[in-house]
Amino acid sequence: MCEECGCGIPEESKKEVLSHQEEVKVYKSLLEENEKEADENREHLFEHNCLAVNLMGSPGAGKTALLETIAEYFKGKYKIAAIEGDLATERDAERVRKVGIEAVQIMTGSTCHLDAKSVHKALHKLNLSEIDFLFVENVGNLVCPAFYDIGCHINGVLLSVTEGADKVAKYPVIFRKAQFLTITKIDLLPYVDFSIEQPKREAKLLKGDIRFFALSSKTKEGIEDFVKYLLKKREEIFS
Amino acid sequence: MHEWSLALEIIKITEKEIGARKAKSALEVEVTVGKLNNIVKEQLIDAFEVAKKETLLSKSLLKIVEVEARGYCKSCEKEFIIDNPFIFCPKCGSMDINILSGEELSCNKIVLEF
Repeated sequence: MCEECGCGIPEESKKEVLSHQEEVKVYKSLLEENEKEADENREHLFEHNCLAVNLMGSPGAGKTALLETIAEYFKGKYKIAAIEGDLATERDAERVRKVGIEAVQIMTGSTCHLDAKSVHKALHKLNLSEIDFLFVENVGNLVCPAFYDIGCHINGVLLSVTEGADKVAKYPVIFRKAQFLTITKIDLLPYVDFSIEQPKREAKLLKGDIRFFALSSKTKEGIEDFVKYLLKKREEIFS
Repeated sequence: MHEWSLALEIIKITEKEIGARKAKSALEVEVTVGKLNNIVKEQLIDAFEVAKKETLLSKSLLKIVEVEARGYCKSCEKEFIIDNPFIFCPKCGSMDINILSGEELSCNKIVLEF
């Protein structure tokens, strides 16, 4: 019997009647937190007149080599910095520092991509008001970086001639999210079966306004066009 | 591919809702997963089952609603189901398409216990 009012309902079942369920609608993206942080990164970089470029591509596509090569084209005119993303070692940061690029290394442990939070932490280690171009070299991977906006103004993918010309169709997500596709190591073209036309055609079909470049960090062929593109984008975004 | 971090995110979103509405716990969480994300449903459920232990979701079940990937071909103006990794129009072969669905990744409904 209930001690409160003397009715016949036992205490335990009264407690069960008091609990209830309710369905609530949420509609929240599972990537919302990253998306919010990415927007904050982008805004923060914009306020400091710093153009941020997310460099993606397979391991060995030539991302670090490209940064080492373009450093001399900016020397004396623009200050460039880099955030390097790898699972382990500071090797890439050390390489670009040797050519005068201030670098922060993010070691992800086992995470296969950079995210907005890790990039945000790295931004704290740079004096952004002095930096004109920030290159974020993502973890070597054609899959996961595509899903994580890190807050850059431009996303680009590097594809080397040794990787096969069919990769654009096989990894459409990352190319669909890119503003540029750069074919690298074109000095090796005589030694590999690689048609420059195939990735160019397929990338334009995936994203009509994607910019296309082909270059060699070794011979410097095509580098100037790519640098001109970056300078033009900086002008456009900060005008 | 990132089933574990997604499971943690689901738990985070749900715990926030439990706190905001002053509920006791969650009994069911429904998420929408578009097929273009290539999330393995079983792996996400397994990850959720591990991640929910000793949280306010320890009694809850994860319900996954899969959304079919559909495309619209800008060349021949036809809708089609995207069912293979190469996203192209099955009618004319064009890759100039709009993705209509298949990229969703969200937490939609939560059954809360008060």
